[in-house]
Amino acid sequence: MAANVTGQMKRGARFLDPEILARIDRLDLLARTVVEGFINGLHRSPYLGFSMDFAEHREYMPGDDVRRIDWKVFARSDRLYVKEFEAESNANFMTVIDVSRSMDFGTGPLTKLDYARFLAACLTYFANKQRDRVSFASFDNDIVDYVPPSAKHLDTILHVIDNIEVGGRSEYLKPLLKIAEAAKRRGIIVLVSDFYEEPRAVVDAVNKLRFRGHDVIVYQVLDRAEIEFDFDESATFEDMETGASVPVVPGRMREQYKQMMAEHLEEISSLMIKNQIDYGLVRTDQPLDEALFRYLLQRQRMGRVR
Amino acid sequence: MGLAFLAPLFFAGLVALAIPVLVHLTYRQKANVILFPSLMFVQKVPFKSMRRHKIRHWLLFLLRCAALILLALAFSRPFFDQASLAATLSSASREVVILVDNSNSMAYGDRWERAQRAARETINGLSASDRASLVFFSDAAQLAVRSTAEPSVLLGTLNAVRPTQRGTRYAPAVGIAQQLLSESGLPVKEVVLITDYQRSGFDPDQPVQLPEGTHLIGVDVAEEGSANLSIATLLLQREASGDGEQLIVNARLVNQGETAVEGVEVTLLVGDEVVETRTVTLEPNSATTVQFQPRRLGNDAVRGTVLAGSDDLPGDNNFYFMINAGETLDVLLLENSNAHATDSFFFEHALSVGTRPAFRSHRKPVSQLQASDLAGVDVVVLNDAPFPSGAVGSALRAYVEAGGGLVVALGELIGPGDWQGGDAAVLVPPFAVNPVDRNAAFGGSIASYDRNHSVFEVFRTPRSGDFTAANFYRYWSLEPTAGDLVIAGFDDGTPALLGRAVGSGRVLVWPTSLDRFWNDLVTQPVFVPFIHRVTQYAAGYQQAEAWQTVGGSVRLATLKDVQLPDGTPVTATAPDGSTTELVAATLALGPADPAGPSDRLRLDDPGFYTLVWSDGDGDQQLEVAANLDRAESDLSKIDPEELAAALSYRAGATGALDLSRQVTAEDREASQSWWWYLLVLLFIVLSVETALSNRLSPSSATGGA
Repeated sequence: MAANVTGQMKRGARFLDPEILARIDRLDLLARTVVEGFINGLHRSPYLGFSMDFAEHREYMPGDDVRRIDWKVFARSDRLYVKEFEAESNANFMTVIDVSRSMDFGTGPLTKLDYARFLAACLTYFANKQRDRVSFASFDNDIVDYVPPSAKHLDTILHVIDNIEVGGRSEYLKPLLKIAEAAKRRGIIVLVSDFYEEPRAVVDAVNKLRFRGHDVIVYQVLDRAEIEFDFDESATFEDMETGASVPVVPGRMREQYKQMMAEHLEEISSLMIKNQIDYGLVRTDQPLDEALFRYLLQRQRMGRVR
Repeated sequence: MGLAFLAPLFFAGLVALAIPVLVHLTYRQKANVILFPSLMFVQKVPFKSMRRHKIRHWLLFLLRCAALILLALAFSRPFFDQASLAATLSSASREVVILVDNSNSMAYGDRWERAQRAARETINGLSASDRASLVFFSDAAQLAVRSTAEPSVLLGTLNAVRPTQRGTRYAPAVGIAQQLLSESGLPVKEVVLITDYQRSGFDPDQPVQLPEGTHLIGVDVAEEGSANLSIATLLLQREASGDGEQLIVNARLVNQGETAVEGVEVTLLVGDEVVETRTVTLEPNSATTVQFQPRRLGNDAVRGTVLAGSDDLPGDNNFYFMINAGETLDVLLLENSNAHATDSFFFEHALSVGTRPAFRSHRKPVSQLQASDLAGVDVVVLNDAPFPSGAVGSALRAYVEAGGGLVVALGELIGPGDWQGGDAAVLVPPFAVNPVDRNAAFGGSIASYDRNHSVFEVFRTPRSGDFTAANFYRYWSLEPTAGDLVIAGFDDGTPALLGRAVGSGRVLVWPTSLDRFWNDLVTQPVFVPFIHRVTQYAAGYQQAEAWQTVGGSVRLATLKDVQLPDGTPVTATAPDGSTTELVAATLALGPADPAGPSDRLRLDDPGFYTLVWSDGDGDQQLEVAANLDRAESDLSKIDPEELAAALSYRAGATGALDLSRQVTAEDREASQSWWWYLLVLLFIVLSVETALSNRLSPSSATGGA
C-alpha cells in the first residue's frame, strides 16, 4: 500500500526529491514546502479523505467546553456534538537522529545526515502543524542536542537541526536510555540512524524507548553505495568512525558485501517487526514522502487508538 | 682512474628510492582513499580478495628508481679522479720532489737550518720503495739529485749546499718538479716545498702547475716578525761642474721591521776610500734617503760602495756601483758668421739642463773652425752655417766617418749653394733652391715621426709629447737619397728630420732653424727632450749601467767604450777572487757548447768584477758592479695557500693540510661536467616515465572516466 502511495505522490510532489531539497538552504522553508506539498498531494489522491485538523464528533458531555459545540450539526440534528481535533490529543512528538561520523557519508547530493536532518525537520513541522508538542534529540555515543517537548519549540528545533554537526562514534544503548528517561510522557519517537551495529544491540536499545510506552518509528538511512557497493577503483577504504583502513578491490568483494548488507538489513527488519517497532529503510536518493507517509500512518493509528 | 664524487653527501638522496617503492606498493590505494561509514562488512570479507603490497608496473617502478638514482648521481657531481685512486693506495710507492729554497733570504736568521732539518725529515721519511729528487732553487733552479732511492745521496747533497746570493723565483723549481713527476711511473706523486714563502718570488704572469694528482706539501721556514734594513737603490746624479763633472750619490734606505733602527751609519766609499759617513734613524716600516756631498769626478772610471749598518740579512746592506768616464757629451756648436746672437740661444739652453748625460757645449763661428777643434768632440752642430770649405770640411767629413756625430740645422742664412759638392754632399742630401714657405697656411706641422727611432722613442707613449702643436713657417725641402732615413716628415710630405749614416758616424739634418724665426718648436715642451735625444743619437751615446744584478750576466760585446776584437781573451775576477777565462765575440756564443769559452760574465755574487785583457796599448781593465736583487730584501710572505693554489694543478696544499685533492677535485669535476649528462639522461627518463604512466593510467585507459 505504501508503495502505491509513493508512486502516486511522486508525480505531484517533485519538491520531495532529495536533489531539489538539497538546493533549499532554509530548513524551515524546506520543511514547510515538503509538508504542504505532501498534504496537497494527499488531498489530490484517491486514497482517503484525510484531515489532520478534525478528528471526529462526539456527543456533548457535561463538562465539555461549550465553545467546541458544533452548532451547525446541532441545527441539523438538534443534538449536541462537540468537535474533537487531533491537536487536542496533546501528544508528544520527538525526532531522534544519529549524528555520528558515519552519517556524514553520501555519494549523491545529500549525505545521510542531510537526509536525516530534512526528514527530522519535515516530521517536526508536520507534527507541530497537528498541534503536537514537538521535541528533538541528536546523539552519537551520547546525547548531543536535546530540545524538550513544547508546541512552541518548532523554531528552536529547526534551528538546532540546522546547526547539527557531525559527531563521533555511534552508540545506541546509552543515549536512547537517556532519551527514554527524559521523555516520560508517552508519545511518538522517530529514530533516524544508519544502524551500523549488531541488529540485536540496536533493537535492545530501541526497546528501551518502546518499553516506556512510546510509539517508535525507526528509519534506517543508507546511501545507495552502502547497499550496492558499486565502487570501481581499487582504493583504501577508511572507516569514518574508527579510522581503520583497508585496501579494497571492490569488484572482488562486491557480491559478498551486498549479501552481508542484505542479511544485516533483513535481520534488523525482522527484529524490529518482531518487537513491534515500525521500521523503514530509506535511501538518500529516495524522496522524503515515503518516510512522511510512514509517520502519517503511525500517527493515524495513534489517533484511532485514542 | 677511479670514480670520485665532489658532493657524495647527496647520495643520502637515494633514501628517496623508498618513495617509488612506497608509491608502487601503497600509494595508488592511498591516493584513492574512500571514507566509508563502516568497515564492519568489508573487514569480514576474506583477506585474499584485497590487493596490497604488490608492485603492479615494474617498468614504471624501475624508471622512477632510475630517475632518483640519476638525480642523486648528478647532484653528487661525479668525476674520474686519478688522484683518488692513488690516494687509496696509501702504501704505494711515491715519487717525491723536494724543492729547497736557497735564495739569499734563506740566510736570514736560522731559516736555512730549519729548511735543512725539514728536508732531512722528509728524506728520512721515505720508504724503501720511494724515490726522491732534490732541487735547490733561487732565481734559478738546480736539480741536485735526480730521482734516487738512496737517502744518503740526498742527505750528502743537502749538507753541502748553502744559501746563495740570489733572488727567489718559484717557477723554475716547479717546472723541474713538473718534469720529474711527469717522467715518473710511480703511482703517488708528491712535492715538498721548503721555503720562506717570499712574495717577490711569485710571478703571476709566469704560471706553472704541477701535474694532475700531485700532492703539494709546503713547509714554511719563515719566522714571524722578521725585520730587515736594506739599501733599496741608489740615485747617482751627474752634473756638469765647471770643466768637469760632479757626482751626487743618494742612497734609499728601507726599514722593513716593526722596530725603529737608530743610529745607522751610512758610509760612502769611492774606490777603497771612505769619503763620507752619515748617521740616520729609520722609523718602523719606513724609508729615507741619504744624500752625500757632491764629489768631483775625474776622467777615469771609479767604483763606489755604500754601506748601511748590518743585520740578519747582510747582503742587502751594501750597494756597489761604477761611475764610468765620459758621461758628459762635448758639443761643438758652429754658427754662421752672420749669425744673430740669439740663433743658438734655445739650443744651448736646452743642452745646459741635461744631467744624464750632461752636455758641455762650445760655440764658435764656422769660419774659425780648425781641424784640431774636432778632437774630443762628441757632436758637431752646424747651426744655420755653411759647410766649411777646404781641409776643414774634409776634416769634418773624416771626423764623422770615424764615428763622430753631426747635426745640421738649415735656416735662413744658408742656401743650397753652401752645401753643394764634395764633402758636403757626402754628409747632407741636396735640397731645393728655395725654402718651402708655409706662412700663407699659417705654418705647416710635423705630421709623422718614427716612434721606434732612438730620437723619438721617448715620445712613444701617449701624452709623452706632441709635435703637431708646433708650427713650421719655412723649411728647406730635402731630397733624400738612397740610404737616407726619413725619421720625421712635415704635413706636405717633405722630410722634417733626416738621418744618414756616414762611415761609423751619424748625421742628422734638420731642414729648418733652431730658433723662433722659421718655427715655434722652441716654445713647445717637446723641444728640450727632442734636442737631448738628437744630440745623444748623433753622439752615439749609450747610457752605461752603474751596476748589474746578481743572477744576470754581461756580454763582453755590450761593454761601453770597449771594442774587443773577436777572440780576445779576457780574464774575469769575481768578488771572491776566483777567475774565469772569457773570449770576446761579436756574435753571442750560444749554449751549444756550455763547457767551452763564453763571452758572458756571470754575476753570481755581489761586488766588483774585474775584466782584464790586452791590446796594442798593453793591459786594459774594466770593472763591473753587481748587487743583490733588491726584491730579495722584501721579506713579506705570500699566503702559502695562495701559492699552493697557484702552483698545483688548479689546486693547493700547504703544511699538513693537503688541499690539492680537494681543489683539484672541483676543477676536474668542472671540466668533466658529468652532472650535465646525467641531468639530460634524467630528463629523458622522466619523459619516458610520464608517457608510460599516462599510458598506464586507468583514467586515460577508460577515456577519462
